[in-house]
Amino acid sequence: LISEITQKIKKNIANHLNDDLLITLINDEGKDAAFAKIVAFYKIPLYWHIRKIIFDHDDTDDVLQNAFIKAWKGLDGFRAESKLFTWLYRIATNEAISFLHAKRKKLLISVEELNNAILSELESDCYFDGDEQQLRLQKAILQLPEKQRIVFTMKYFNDLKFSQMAEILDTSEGALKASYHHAVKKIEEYLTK
Amino acid sequence: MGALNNIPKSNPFKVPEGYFEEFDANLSERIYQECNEKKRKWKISGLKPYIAIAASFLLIFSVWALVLNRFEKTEKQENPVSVDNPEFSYFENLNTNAVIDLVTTEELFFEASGTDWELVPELTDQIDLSIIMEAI
Repeated sequence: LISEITQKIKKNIANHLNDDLLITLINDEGKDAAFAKIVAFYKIPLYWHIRKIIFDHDDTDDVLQNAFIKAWKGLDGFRAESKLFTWLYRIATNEAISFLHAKRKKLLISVEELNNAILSELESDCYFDGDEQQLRLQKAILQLPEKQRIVFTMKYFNDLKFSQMAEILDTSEGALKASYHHAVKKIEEYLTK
Repeated sequence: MGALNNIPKSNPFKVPEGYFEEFDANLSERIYQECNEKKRKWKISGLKPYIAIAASFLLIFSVWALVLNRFEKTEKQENPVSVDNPEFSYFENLNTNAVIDLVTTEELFFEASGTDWELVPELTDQIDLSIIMEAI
């Protein structure tokens, strides 16, 4: 019974992975074990964070793996740095933005052309199950400038606090609130057209 | 947020079946590959000093060989009569008239007739055999 309770407590702790616990894990169980717990805890929220920016599943998978590899490489230097949550979301966001920039450069197309390509892929994507309204919403999101798009996605879908977003994106809360406000306004306009 | 509120907030995106379950294993494989690649690069970089030393020796040898080759060529140009191949040197500046003079002088004829003409490649360019035959 005691071991069962211990297991449950351990599971509960693992589900609430915090920075102090992670540092303890790295010290006690080693980098591999700590990293495995990070991946188990963050893979789903980070996947959806990236997917809402990139849209395509395969590309999201690549970007997510790259983000975790960066985290793996930087884990040794993590201890004295920012919060794990902020650090991982920042890596994932930067990787997603870099991916879009690289894709645009590779295809030699403008931002608008890239968004149109993403949209046409989305319409035929077997991993997109949205109805007409949801597709329209995604189209509206794609019309937004890159920064507004990321801010809107993080707030509207991921329900992150402005204070958390400010840490991740290294911007002031005021600027983020203004960005979100503009994004919502543009989306409303697009949807009521 | 009128129009936006009318749209259900449910997630319209899907993932392939078993994606999240397999993700950890796929990631571990990629990290393993990256580590191996890093080790391979490290091994190559470990050999770098030796490769550099070998390349330096090769460079020094090449420069030395080149300088020696140039020096020998210059020496030959300055002193065309070579002591190594007197037979070739004898015929080196030979032309049609010289051959006529040579073969019409009995003493020299015998000396020249003992020569293997095939061994003198430039000779055919320098002389006209038909003129020589007429002169004889």
